[in-house]
Amino acid sequence: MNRSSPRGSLAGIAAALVAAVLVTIVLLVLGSRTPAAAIRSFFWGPFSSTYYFGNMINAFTVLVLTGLGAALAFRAGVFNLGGEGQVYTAAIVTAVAANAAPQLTAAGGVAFALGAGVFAAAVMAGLSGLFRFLWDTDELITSFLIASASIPIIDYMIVGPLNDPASNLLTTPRIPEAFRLLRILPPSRLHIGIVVAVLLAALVFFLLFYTVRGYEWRLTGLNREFARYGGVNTGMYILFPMLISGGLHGVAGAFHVLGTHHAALVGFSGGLGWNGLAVALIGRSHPLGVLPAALVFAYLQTGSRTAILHTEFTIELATIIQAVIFFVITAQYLPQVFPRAARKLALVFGRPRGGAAPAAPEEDGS
Amino acid sequence: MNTQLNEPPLVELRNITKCFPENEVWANREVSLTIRRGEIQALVGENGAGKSTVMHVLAGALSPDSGQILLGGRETRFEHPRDAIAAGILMVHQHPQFVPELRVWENLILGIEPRGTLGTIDRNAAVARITELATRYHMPINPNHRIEYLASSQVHLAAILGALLRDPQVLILDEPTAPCSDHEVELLFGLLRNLAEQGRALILITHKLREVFAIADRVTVMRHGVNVAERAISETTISELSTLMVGEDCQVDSDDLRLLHAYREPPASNAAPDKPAQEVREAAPEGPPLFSIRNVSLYEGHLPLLSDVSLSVRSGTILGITGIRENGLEYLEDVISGSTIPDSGEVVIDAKRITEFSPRRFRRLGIAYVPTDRLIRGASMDASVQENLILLRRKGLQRRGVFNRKSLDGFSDQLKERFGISASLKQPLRRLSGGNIQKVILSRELSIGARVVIFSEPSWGLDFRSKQFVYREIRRLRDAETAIILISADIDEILSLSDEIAVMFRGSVATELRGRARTRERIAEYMLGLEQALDAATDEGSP
Repeated sequence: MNRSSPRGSLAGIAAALVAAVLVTIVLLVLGSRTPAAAIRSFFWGPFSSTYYFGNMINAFTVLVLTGLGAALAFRAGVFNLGGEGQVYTAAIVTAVAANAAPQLTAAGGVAFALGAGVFAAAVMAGLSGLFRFLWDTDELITSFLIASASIPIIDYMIVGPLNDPASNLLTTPRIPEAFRLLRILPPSRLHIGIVVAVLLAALVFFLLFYTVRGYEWRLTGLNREFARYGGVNTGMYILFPMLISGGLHGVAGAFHVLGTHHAALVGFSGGLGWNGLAVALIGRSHPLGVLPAALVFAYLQTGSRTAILHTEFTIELATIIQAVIFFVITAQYLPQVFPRAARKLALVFGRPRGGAAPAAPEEDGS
Repeated sequence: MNTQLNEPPLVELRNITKCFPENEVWANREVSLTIRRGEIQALVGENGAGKSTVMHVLAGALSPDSGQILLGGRETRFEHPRDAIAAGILMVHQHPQFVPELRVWENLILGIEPRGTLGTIDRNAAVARITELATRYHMPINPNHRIEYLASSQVHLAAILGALLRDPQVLILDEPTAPCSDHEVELLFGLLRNLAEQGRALILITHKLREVFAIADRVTVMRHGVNVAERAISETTISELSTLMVGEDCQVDSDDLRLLHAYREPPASNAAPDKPAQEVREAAPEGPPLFSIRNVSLYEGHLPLLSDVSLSVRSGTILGITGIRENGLEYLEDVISGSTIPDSGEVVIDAKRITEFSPRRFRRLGIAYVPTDRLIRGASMDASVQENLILLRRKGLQRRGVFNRKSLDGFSDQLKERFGISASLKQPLRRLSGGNIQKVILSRELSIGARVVIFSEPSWGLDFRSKQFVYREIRRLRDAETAIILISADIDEILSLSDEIAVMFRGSVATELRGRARTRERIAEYMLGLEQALDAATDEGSP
């Protein structure tokens, strides 16, 4: 009679992580000619040098931001599946903005470029919120479609009109030196953006759990109908969560340009948006839960990189492992977190409105 | 029905004990029950008395910590509900779980699918079987309808039908009448008698003593996990059972007792004059109505859901609105609470037209609302008790947008104490009993100092004490000059609380009754749209 919480139990999350690690080991043993070395490299690689360690923490920074973005949307009961495109859009807008205003001071340039990128991503996600608000279109679908459409366009921009003529890489020109964020652990790419990411997590935590708006935000996510009867302006909690979720993805994309690569690379955002969703799920959509979840994810990600570089581990295998981790973690509570989506998938031919019987209050403790 | 005294009983439970460590309570302590063929046995007790637990043990859903189950005199063990089903013991739960998108027959045959050639499901056989059963027992269920389109009482009937498909020897029904109108209750009771005459044993878990006396042969009373008494129905009285249920320490107000368990006396003796004097206000208070709806109509396509409904309520009065389910009560609830904008007509408060206002603006105008649908509209099950309590007062408990922890806790503790909510503030609402959930909703709605309060089915599924509490609050509000609209399908509730009564039939107000004109029989006639009632209504308007 006991219904599990929509955010999954801690035990379930731990089980999913253990399952993911076990599957990884099995794949490593099966797929590598030197399994022992591959396993060692996979698990110890991230700590083997400052370079790898710093890059792991940098991956953590990005995952915290996208994870926060996804979690904030979940908390309001809306779904931003367009993270990939939003990160990518923010990156190219940031790169263009930075190169367009080289005369600005360092602080001014960073603020301008960052602001432009974040604004672009927020608008992109906010559109889906607006559409739902105006016409009741499903933001889960529209955010995904808009983002998916944006990706090939940006690919084209980077390869074509915005390409760096001085480089053989598929990238935009590098941004002015003055606008590059301070590196913390050279030679790795870790930059001071990490401080911002952790502060943002703390800020989101405070806003969600200690303010009236945060209360309305969470209550709307738990039961929109109830919030509406309680006088909460629920329309606002479709629009703003999408805007802010997009904005956080935008920070991730902008940091990529300002801190990590100093340019927008073709296809760099591959997986960032989806991994953000996974991080939010592991972190139970809690802003402070997102931090350890992002760390675990960053560790596994960096581990597969080092395994590729140091053993005969192939990139395909690394991708498979990432996919397996994502799959195991999300599958566990996909139907709980996305009841709407799960119902739709399960009833391809059914009508869109679901009329599930509401859960009964527990009686007699049974 | 004591013809088989020498035969071993069909099922016997001996000294069943069950403890839920997380709740630190004995759900059942040494409970013994005897279940005989052809007998309807009622199991009564307050919420948390252990009725459901012992029945879940019998149905194989829980295994007891100790105790025995004897089947025809032989000891047996149920590891799983399917063991109990194999032994012919079935339970119909209070909230049957179906797949709403699927049809009735698809839901009912799960696990006992009739096979055609090639091993496919024989749809025709399934539908024929269900239709045959439904016809035999006069159940208005079409096996081809989708569950999601059924009214909740029909869903319940469908669940009973599903149990009958499995030919049970023992059928356990958990609060089967909760969603039913009086008419449906009669139908259900006919079915139960019929089943008992076939030699099946029936167990009825219920809060309503009136029903116990109407249908049961024997009654078992449980309190705090213990089986406190067992009586043949002819050898007990309502007041004895009430006292047994709540314990000696609890004072039972005799008026409330009448109301809560009003036994349906023979019609002749149930004339109006014996109503408690305090209930009837012959002279309606003067003054303009505070809240009213005028000529409200609502359509679904061309189908009228509400036609030309006009009602109004003054400060310090209770307007009771009753009717059989499916006659427009739920749409009326939606219109007066601001959740549905009617196709024509208007909603008015203080002579101000608010028809198109959102529920949010209704609240701001001081209209509080305790909805029928407590789990979705009335509360958030996943939010904590505190988060549910503060909803309407959130703006007053903050400074510059940040909650003030002290005033937050002070406010919640105050409500908790005043309404006797027994739960910690941090608990998710889902963990609370039905009575406590309703208290949380009630205390929140009354925290805004409302001028108009809409109650819809405020006592559904509540136990004795909680009902008593709710009724006292309603009366207290009335005495504090609040205008109250009480929507309820329970005639007794309507009769004893309301100053004026409107009866709905097929989306229109069939009649409005006040003073001595209000009797159970008149209301029932209008509810059912009986010929003479219709004539009276059309010939002379409202009496």
